[in-house]
Amino acid sequence: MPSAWFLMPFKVFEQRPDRDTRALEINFDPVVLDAYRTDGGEMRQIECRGNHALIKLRAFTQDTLDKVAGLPGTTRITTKQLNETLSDLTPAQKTALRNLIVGLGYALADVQAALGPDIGNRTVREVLRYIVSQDQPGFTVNPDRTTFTMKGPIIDNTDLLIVDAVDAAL
Amino acid sequence: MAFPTTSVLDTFTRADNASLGANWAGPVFVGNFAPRIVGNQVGPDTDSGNSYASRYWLTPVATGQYEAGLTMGTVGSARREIYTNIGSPASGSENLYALAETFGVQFEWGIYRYLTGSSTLMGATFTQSYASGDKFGLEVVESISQKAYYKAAAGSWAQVGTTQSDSTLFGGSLGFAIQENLAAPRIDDFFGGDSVAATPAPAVRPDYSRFPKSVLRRT
Repeated sequence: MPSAWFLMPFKVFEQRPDRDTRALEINFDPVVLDAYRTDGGEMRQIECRGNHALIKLRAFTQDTLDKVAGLPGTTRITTKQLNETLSDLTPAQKTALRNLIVGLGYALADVQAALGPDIGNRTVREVLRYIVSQDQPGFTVNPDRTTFTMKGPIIDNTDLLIVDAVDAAL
Repeated sequence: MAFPTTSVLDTFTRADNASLGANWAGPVFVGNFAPRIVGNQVGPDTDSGNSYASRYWLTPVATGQYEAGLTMGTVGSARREIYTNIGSPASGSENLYALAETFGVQFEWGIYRYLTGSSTLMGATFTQSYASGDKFGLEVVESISQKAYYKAAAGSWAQVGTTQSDSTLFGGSLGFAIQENLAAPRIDDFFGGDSVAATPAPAVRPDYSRFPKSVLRRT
């Protein structure tokens, strides 16, 4: 079964009227959600900064993965194995990936310090672990009921082996 | 692993009462109401329409693997939620995992994580219809998995939705909530606690009587 790693944003989800709740973008597109469900899809999420989550998603068909990749704000990071490097990325793709990580809230200097000047020299495991190395789980939903204000501390993820566990599960 | 492995903590079979009794505390969330014993089941005490009545079992879990669940009583027009890992209840900074039905979409369920009061759906929602007498449950293996289960009244337990892998919550209490609605929504038998490990198979020992003593040597 094909699988891939995605970076996916959260949106406001009206789970109950007296609580602010967020859910991954896939829950808001009935076509993609139905494709995921009927295709035997399975996914695990690891939350990270920037109101996003790193997702590993597996489905029976490539078409479902392509549909997920087309969701708003969603990026298919890679289909490679954890121990493979990202050396085949073009310079533009490397820049895009680095900008994606910076867009989560990580400082460019910190990204470069952690992953080096050429992200293509890093393994998938190293990059994914860096993406989930910090999280800011607290939020409030703004009065417009569509946007968030992130709140609370940014916390270090002390369980980076979760990337390997999720990878092994799917 | 089999589910469930625990027995019923409370059948709610007793005289009608505004309180669930000394084994329960609550509410789980700020602003929740108190559920009541009514007709040997549990129902809400008022009809706010948009809020919930909630309680948690006073004895917290003690190991790294546990479960909670309940029986659907009279279905009515209300939603139910099952909780594990309840921490800092009614503080505005609640922590817990929840198997919960979407308020506006009957039969749509999800596994949620509340962390310091912020609620996040884990993965995708799933659909599971139910009727009175059916059961739902939530199993947690700390740092490894959260799984939802369903059992039709005359059926057998099966996992519903997909496994989640959150690793942020440990310990805490078990509990439930029911949407406030006086149109007779009810829940019944609440079960849960630390998972009971399957009885290990007896160790297989070599039958030395089958061998002549000449081939048995001390090592």
